[in-house]
Amino acid sequence: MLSPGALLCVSTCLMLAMGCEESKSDIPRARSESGSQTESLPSGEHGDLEDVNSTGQTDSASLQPGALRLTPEQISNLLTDAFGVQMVHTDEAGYVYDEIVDEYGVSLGGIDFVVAARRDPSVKASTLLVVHAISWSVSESILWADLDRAPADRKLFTLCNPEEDYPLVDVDFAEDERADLEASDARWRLQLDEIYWRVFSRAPSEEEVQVLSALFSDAAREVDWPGRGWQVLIYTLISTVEFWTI
Amino acid sequence: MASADLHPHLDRGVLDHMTTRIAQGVTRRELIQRGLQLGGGAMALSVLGAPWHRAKAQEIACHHRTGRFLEIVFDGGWDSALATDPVVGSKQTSAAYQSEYLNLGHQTVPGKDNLVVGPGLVPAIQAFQSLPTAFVNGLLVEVTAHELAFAYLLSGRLSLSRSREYPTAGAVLGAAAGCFPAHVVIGAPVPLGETKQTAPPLHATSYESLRSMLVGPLAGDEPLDAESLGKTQSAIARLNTLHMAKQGRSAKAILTPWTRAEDALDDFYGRGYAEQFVLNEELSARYGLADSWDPLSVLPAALMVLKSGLSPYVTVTIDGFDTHADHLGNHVPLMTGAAAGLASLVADMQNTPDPNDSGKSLAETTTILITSEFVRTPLFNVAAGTDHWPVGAAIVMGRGVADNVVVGATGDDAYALGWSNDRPVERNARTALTPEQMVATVLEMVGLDGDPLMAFGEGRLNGIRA
Repeated sequence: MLSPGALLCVSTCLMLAMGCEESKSDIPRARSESGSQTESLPSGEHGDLEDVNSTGQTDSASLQPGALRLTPEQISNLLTDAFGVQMVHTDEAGYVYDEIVDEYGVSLGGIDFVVAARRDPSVKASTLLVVHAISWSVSESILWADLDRAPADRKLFTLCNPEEDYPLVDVDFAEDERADLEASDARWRLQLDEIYWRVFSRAPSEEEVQVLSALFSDAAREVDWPGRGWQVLIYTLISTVEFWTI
Repeated sequence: MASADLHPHLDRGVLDHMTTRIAQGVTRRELIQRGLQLGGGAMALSVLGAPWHRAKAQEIACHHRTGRFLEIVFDGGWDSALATDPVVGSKQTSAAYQSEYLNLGHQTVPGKDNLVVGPGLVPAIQAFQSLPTAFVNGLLVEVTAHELAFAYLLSGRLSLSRSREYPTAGAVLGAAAGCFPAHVVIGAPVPLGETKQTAPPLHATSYESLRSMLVGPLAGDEPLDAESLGKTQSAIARLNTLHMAKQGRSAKAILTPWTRAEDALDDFYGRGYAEQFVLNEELSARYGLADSWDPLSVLPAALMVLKSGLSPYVTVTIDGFDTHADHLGNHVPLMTGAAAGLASLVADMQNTPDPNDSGKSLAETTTILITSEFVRTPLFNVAAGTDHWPVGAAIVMGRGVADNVVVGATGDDAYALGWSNDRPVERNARTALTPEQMVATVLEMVGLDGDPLMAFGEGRLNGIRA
């Protein structure tokens, strides 16, 4: 049986070993060459190794799992691919511009003043402001881009009627309404499932469904129109950290 | 703005040192090491990486010790012959200037006989009358490539390497103050150097995108109300929490700042910017705007930034001055439009109380710098346009400025002359007026002092400071 002193020594060594593990994981590594941005600082002057930042570090070349923030260009492509909303336009003068890259690209850490190589992947408060500005603007575009199509031609809302179907959440109803409401709820859930697969490549968890159905219901019933609920729901999904990182 | 008390773990000396090194373009490694050596590791990281939490929790106090600063950049290279350095006197017979300039005329600012403006700035004469105003001509600009010259004139430091970037005057001020946002940039992106990481600006390409950022889902044709915003933010927070629970340790460490910053958004949206950043018809008409996306909308946007207290340091850029073809047809209307906007802006600043000192107007508490990366060639090219010329010019107005003063001059050949004892002399290394001197002088006018000014050397533009 170990003496108290030995126990203290062993436990201290164990703690130090865990700390060393932590330190090893904090050792800076070279910048990733991948198209996405590693969530770490840009390399310092004269090719210095990257410093430890307050967000931790990783790079795609290491074996450690981490997180990569999508570039403005990738976000633009993702919105188009997932929701069918066009982010790239050509103006009257023939200039091709991307709503996100040209309007918010620098603020999102894209190509900065002159240096395309020194993108800024770190999260700042201003990043969140841009995220929410884009999310709110785009959510409205996404909704109306599809609602303006004839129901048979819709690309996003193919599994429910976005202007009629509700999730079944804390609603008083007569028994003869149950079947219709449950059918509406089922269609709504199928549509949510579809959106999740498009955006996150996975199904929503039951808790996520509960959170979003409550949010949807509040927003939709406020103006008595499910379309509003979908706008708020899409805005919420696009504003999450999961959407903006991989 | 927060109180002037500094956090006990980070004294004035540390902050000054950090600010100085930021201005000198030091690496982030050095800044962190310095902070850790002083035992303020956590605070150093919070200074460098999380200004949001600083602003919210006031861990390190937002510390504005200076006046306000507004920089208006005529992006592309403005024509000083249409502005602060018209073709008058012996220049008219020098043959160095395009003959069309000889017929364009000029005007003296009433009551300020030293200030003579070309036709491009005539609409701004009232502004020059209203505020203490000084012109700077004949700045020696040693590069005429847009990016290099733009960075030089805005930062006051010349870099010929894209790997070495120095921060603008606004960025230096913002870094010294340590607030969120450090400063605001509306228009084209500007060089930030290390402040891009340590004290980044709130950057928007236009009034509309600035408003969208400040207001978020409280904007639009059918915005969320406060209650709905709260429910939505709660849902986002819950989804983020569920996502974070599935992540590994490294990913959590990376993503945590995001979720922490998300928590503070309610406070930010609650500041009322939705009501303060409104470009109505009356305002649009006064600034001559075609719509809210008009390039000149940056001027009323700058007023809103100062008036709302979002930041005391604003840089705006107005594009389009790089007129390599049909110079007079393109440049004159652009400059006169901007000048008219400037007149409206100054008038509005005179009628707007400073948010921190209701006894003074914004015009009394703000130093305004108007500049461009260089001026235009005195002769036209084959397309009746003008090209880049290695001279700079600027206007300084408002707080801390000596009135009715012109410093620097160009010769009859349009090249920069030297300046000594308040008069033009032969230019050499000792007599040349430089952007270093101009930016350092303006920073002193605004009220910056101490170590951050060391990077600019000792030279100053004598005479423009009151």
